[in-house]
Amino acid sequence: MSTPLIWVVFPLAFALILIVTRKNPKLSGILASVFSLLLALAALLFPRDLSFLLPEQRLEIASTLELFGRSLQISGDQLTMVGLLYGIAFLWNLGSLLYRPSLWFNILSLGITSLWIATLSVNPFLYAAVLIELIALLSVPLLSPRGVRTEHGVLRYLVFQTLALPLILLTGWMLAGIGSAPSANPLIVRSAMLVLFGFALWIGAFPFHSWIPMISAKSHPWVVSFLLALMQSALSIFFLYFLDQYAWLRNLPITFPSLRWIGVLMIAFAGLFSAVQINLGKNFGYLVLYETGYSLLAIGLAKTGGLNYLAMLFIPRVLSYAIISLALSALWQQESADALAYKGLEGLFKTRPVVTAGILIGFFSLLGLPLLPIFPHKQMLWLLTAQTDPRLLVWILVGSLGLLVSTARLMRLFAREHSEDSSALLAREKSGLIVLMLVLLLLMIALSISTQMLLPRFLGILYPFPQLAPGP
Amino acid sequence: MYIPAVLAILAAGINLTRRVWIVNAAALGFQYLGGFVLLCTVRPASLAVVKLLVGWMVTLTLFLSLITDGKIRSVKAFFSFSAGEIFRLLAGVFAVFFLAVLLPALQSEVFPQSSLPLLLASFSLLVLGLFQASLIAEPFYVIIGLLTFLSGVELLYASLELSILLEAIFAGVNLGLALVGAFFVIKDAEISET
Repeated sequence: MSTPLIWVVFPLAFALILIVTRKNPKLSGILASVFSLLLALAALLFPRDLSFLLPEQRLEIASTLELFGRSLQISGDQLTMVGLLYGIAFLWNLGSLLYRPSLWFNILSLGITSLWIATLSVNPFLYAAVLIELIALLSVPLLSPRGVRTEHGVLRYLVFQTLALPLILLTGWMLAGIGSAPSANPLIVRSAMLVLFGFALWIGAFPFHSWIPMISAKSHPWVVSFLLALMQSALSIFFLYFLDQYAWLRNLPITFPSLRWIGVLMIAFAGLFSAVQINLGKNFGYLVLYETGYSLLAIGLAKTGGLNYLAMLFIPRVLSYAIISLALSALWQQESADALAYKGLEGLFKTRPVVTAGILIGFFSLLGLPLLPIFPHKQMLWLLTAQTDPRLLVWILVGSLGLLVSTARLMRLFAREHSEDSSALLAREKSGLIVLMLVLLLLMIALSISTQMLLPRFLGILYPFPQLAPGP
Repeated sequence: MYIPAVLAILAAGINLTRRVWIVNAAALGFQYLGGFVLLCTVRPASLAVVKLLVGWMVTLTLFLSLITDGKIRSVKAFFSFSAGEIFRLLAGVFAVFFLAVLLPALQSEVFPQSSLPLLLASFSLLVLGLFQASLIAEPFYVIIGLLTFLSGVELLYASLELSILLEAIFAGVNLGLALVGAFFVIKDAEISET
């Protein structure tokens, strides 16, 4: 028995078994939810030294699985991250019971999550580039299901993910054995550019971001939010592997300032673009980009403790995505993509108050409004930014103002008087939607009032990176 | 070794330029054949043949999906070119020409262990595949472009390092791309019919 077997191979096998149940959405959804919850809990509760003390013996679980001369390795330190990713899979599989976005959602969501874990555990980790390409391919049936014409956004997504592949693979080959070369070496500068360029393509950093709003406008919100939440979390952690493993990249004088600048530019542009949107789905795409900007900013502030806030932002951010996309899915259920256009959302507050509340709470949370769980961490990031380079604050302010305007526009739209009698148009929401939204809201409230108790547990995500964030 | 390199480049060039599906499927098959001969210079033939088989399976998958949908058209006026085709042809020719000029320097500085024909083929496939994937929005051609791009990556990486795991994942990615391409072709055809 080994950890990669438990968190990579078994879930993949279980996903294959789920194919049998795909015509029975409830059963498939329940099985996938229970299985991912068990995996998440196991990852969070497993002893960090991977050994169990039994009455007569000590049972040790291996951390490595050999495959064709290479290996998958999940150490005890990586289990918090594994728990986070399976937690995301659990939440989204649970939501799929309400709004089944595709016959394949439960199967592929488990498969994709286990491939992300494989991506973060493969040795040498540069091979992860090919696994990420596989993940992109598996996402296609979810983003562009049968009955819907293939959209440009999906094609662009595939193209960008494929373009990143050689950049990362070649970097690995170029740098084999020069881990400690002086940072002035031109080969190192060239490799750093390749790595950063590859990551920019993967994560949709500005100006390679166009596919994110395109797919979020045209694909089911529950699918988009699941894929983007997983991708954003996993790629942020994957980038930390690069920084931790390669001293040359860490020690290059341009690395951290570049990340900070790319991060704040993404915050500013995403905020501004969000302010002028006329489609909620597309707007959600810009929210994801806004948060990617914060992740890059936090990584750029690693030397002054920014990584702690990167780790503690994961859960509140995922909850915000979930609450927004749950509300968008409720809208989508009736009229598909057209339901997310602003012109059809006038007076929504009176006809669908629960959905409206979900959207606005999610927006306010991502904006970093006080009393919501993201606020304390973003506030600390603003503080660290001001101490490191005050010029960056201007861009953060621009982005925040953009998002504030976007939220204000939505409030105005939702509150606008409907020409018809609104009580006659009041929609009856599914009880499951109300319950799930309440649970998400309670979790957000719990996180906001106990910031110092619950979230520091997730600092364990940083334990595998001793060079960047020395452990406890 | 320039003959298989030229064969692969010509096949990729035809795919970039022409929009006749049966010709594109055939050219893709020839492109994998050229890649196989080049691979034999850096790999045992028993390993290189895996890539050829995977490549032909990919071609067959796409071809069968086109047949299923009745999209294979007879070739008419193969030698008459539209303005777009001339543009893509010229772009491809210039790109390969520049690569041929620049590659000797790149070889001596970065890839001394790779032969020049292999580098020419791999970089040309990379660039032509990139053009193909970015100059057209039709799913079938984007997928062919991505397959061409991946062929270039695989060829280049094969000359640098041998990893069986990587080979296996690359085979999976190629087959996955072909299935995605077939999925696009069939589902778009279903929509057109309704």
